[in-house]
Amino acid sequence: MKKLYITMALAAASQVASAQEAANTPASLEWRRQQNLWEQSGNPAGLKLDKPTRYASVLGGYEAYGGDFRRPQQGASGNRQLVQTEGGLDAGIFYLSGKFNYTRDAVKETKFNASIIDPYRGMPFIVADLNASDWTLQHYDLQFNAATRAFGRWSWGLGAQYKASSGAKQRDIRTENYYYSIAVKPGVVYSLNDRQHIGFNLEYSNMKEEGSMSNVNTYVDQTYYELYGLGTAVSQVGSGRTNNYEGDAWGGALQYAYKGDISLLVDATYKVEAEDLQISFTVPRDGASVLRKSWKANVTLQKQTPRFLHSLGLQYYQRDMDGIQYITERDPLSGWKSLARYVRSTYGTQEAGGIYRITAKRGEEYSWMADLSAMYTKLDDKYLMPASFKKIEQVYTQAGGKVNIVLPGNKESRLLVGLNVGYNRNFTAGYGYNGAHPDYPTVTELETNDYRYLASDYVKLELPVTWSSKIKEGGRQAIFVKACGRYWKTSSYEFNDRYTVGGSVGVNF
Amino acid sequence: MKYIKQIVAALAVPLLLAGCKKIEEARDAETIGAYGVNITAPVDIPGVTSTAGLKIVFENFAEGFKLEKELTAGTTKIEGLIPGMYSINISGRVEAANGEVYYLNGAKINYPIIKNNSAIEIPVSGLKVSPLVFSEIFFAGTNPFYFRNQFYEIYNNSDETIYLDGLYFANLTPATATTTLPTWPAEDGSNYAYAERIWKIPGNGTTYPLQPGESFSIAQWAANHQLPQYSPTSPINCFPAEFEFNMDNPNFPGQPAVDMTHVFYNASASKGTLPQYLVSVFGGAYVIFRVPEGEVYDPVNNASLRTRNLGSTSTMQYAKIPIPYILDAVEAGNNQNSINAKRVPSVLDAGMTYVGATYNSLGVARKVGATNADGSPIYTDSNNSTDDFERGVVPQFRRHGAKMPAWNHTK
Repeated sequence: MKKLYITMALAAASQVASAQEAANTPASLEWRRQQNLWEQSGNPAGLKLDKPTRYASVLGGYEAYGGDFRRPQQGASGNRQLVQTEGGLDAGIFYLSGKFNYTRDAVKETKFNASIIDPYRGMPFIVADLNASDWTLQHYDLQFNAATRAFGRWSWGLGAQYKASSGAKQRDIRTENYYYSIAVKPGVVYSLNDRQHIGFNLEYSNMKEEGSMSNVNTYVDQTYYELYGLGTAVSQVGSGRTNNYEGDAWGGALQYAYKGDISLLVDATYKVEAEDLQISFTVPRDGASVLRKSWKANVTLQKQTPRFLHSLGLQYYQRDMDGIQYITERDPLSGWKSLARYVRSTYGTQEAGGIYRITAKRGEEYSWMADLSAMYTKLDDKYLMPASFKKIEQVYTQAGGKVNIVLPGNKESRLLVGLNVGYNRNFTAGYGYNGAHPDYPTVTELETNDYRYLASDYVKLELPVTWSSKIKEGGRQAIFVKACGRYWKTSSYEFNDRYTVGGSVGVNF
Repeated sequence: MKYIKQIVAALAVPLLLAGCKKIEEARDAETIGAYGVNITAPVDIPGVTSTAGLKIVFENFAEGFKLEKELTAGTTKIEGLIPGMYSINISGRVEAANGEVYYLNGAKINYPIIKNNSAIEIPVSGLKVSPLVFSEIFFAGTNPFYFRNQFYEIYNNSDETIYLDGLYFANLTPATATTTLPTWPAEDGSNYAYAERIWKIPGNGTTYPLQPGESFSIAQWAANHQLPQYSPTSPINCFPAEFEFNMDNPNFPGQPAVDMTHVFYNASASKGTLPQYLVSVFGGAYVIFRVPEGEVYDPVNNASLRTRNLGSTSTMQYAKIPIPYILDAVEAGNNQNSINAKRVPSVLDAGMTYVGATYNSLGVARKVGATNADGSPIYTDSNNSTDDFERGVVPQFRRHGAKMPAWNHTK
């Protein structure tokens, strides 16, 4: 499988190696992406309307992170290696873009997760144990988008994404997990006239994650907890269980775009997902299900002047999730039967935000940009019976900017230096547990510390620096070196800080 | 080439329909709410016409939910239940028309309450009060992985002398709590418990008298486990035990305690080749029983008193123990959530006890209901180990002032 990914990535890169001349600095790629509103909408049929260019980029990098300001199921520290490639090919009759990411993540001393690769992917029904353990993770992400030229008033497009991950917990109770998801997104755009376009796309995705838990030291049976949400748990002793998650999702999106003195794109998306957990492959039992419904709306306005691009983006996101539990009965001959299922918990997320950005143009790139953004987030999670709750309301504001410094020489050398400063202010926070066994660590540690994390005010600093230069004078290929540091400092009594530092080297073709 | 569209459609359509089905099923899930049930408890004892006043207990172990009410005359409406799997127990004393007092008991184990206002009928009957009860059981062993200090203490809970000679002890199958229960012959009905291995107390009929308020212990190996070469951190020294399960292992030789007589293992009277009589450190299911006078119990030679698990291909034979023979039964599991893997019929033990971990040096001990004039205990025996036992106690012999029989070898 790895060979397939590498072959496809290299093929994508080599296809565009002889592309037409265009600015190829990191700032120029960002500048083009900022104006590609259809690309941001996610409807592949609109990509040709973005006036795309040929480009390709490949990078390899390393990141390390640590610090105690983290959610309980995140690693105390860790590091990751990553390889990323992406490119676009405009062949006139169609446009094709592709992307491939590979990440290897060594997560250190994570707790309360013994069964799932990503405990924060919206699946509350997992197994938690009390042993702090390392996890080794690998992620592959392969995607492409293709768009036709306009046939009359109609343009057509198709997007697809394939993700695969594997994960292994390194301490009893161990687990070895395999995850994949595949998504297909067909789309269409109807042009009312040269300035106005209406788009529509569908999305279907399918996922599966399976994991088998076991003990290497079979003499010591471990205590573990089957989580049902907000601290509700059933404790067990032994070597865990086999988990099989399978999910499907359907979605659709509508877009309206206007291009004149002002560019406008309005995008509204709805998606519904269901994911079932079955326990054991030999005698399967319905473990739980989730139903996720999400709405998303974005409005982007852009105004270009001879010197500047002004962008205003507004966004709203809402996700309502139901946690469904089963009542099952074991029949000695036919196995497990599900007698009933009930929505036992609900999880609500709302986000509303806006960003204003001003970008100073310089040829096919920008000389500087500055932005100001704010995001309101509300979490409203409930376990219905016995009633427990977790509520969070906060606003994150951020100011930032980047300066693209021209360095001396004839190789279009640049130093792109950025700074982002953010502040998270919590307004409402509460966690109340009224279920059985309030002394379980799933309540006293896992959920209580998660609530404390989510309720924390903090400051975030981010400093990205990128140096780039063409490899040969007059050539197209540009090498770049990126370094980025992020630092979170909280005023919480329970936590202190968190950091991420990393760097990468790559080439734009 | 012309078939490509059809092939793609044939593959894609079932996939997409499956995706729709998953979403539709999730959408159909009902939002949980409190349910009520209507309970009737018919009783077949002459002269007892009403079960009003009996205690009814609903326990949902997975939810940690317990609701206790009193039955009224006729149908009793119970409100406020979380839908789920319940252990429902009815117990209490009633006075019959002739003035006799009965201890009544009825139960439904792993009963699904999934419909609001449903009717549930729980027949209740008079409970046979056992003169001998398990008063203490230690099965978990001691860290690291020392299991030879398992023992079972049995107490004379009556006011009469009982001769232990011929008293049987057995552990039931499956060895550990599991939801994969065996399949037994349909013609057996609910008339038997199924044992993996059976032992018997030797004697000529009057060799081992047990006075009221006295107890005796049967140890896996009746040695002083606290010696340096065994398990110095063992909470118990089993040397004073009255009996032991001697498996003739030269590395762990017989002790002064009296050897139990081996009766049955896999259709044979022979002990087999296992080096010790180890019952699961997760907790097993144990019974003591006595064969009524005039009856013969020989599961080795009488094929109708043994069977294999019809749900498996294994040829392993298990002994059938008629339910009326059984004096006391205790079921132990991993923890409170093992109740959904119950092995013992509810008529013998409507609950389950546990210590929550293996090799933690903790045991279970029966609760004291009252005290005799001489200070010895009268133990609680409601046929429900969940209620009757203290869990996670440091094991000891003869707690609560139980007395040692005169024939104990240390006297």
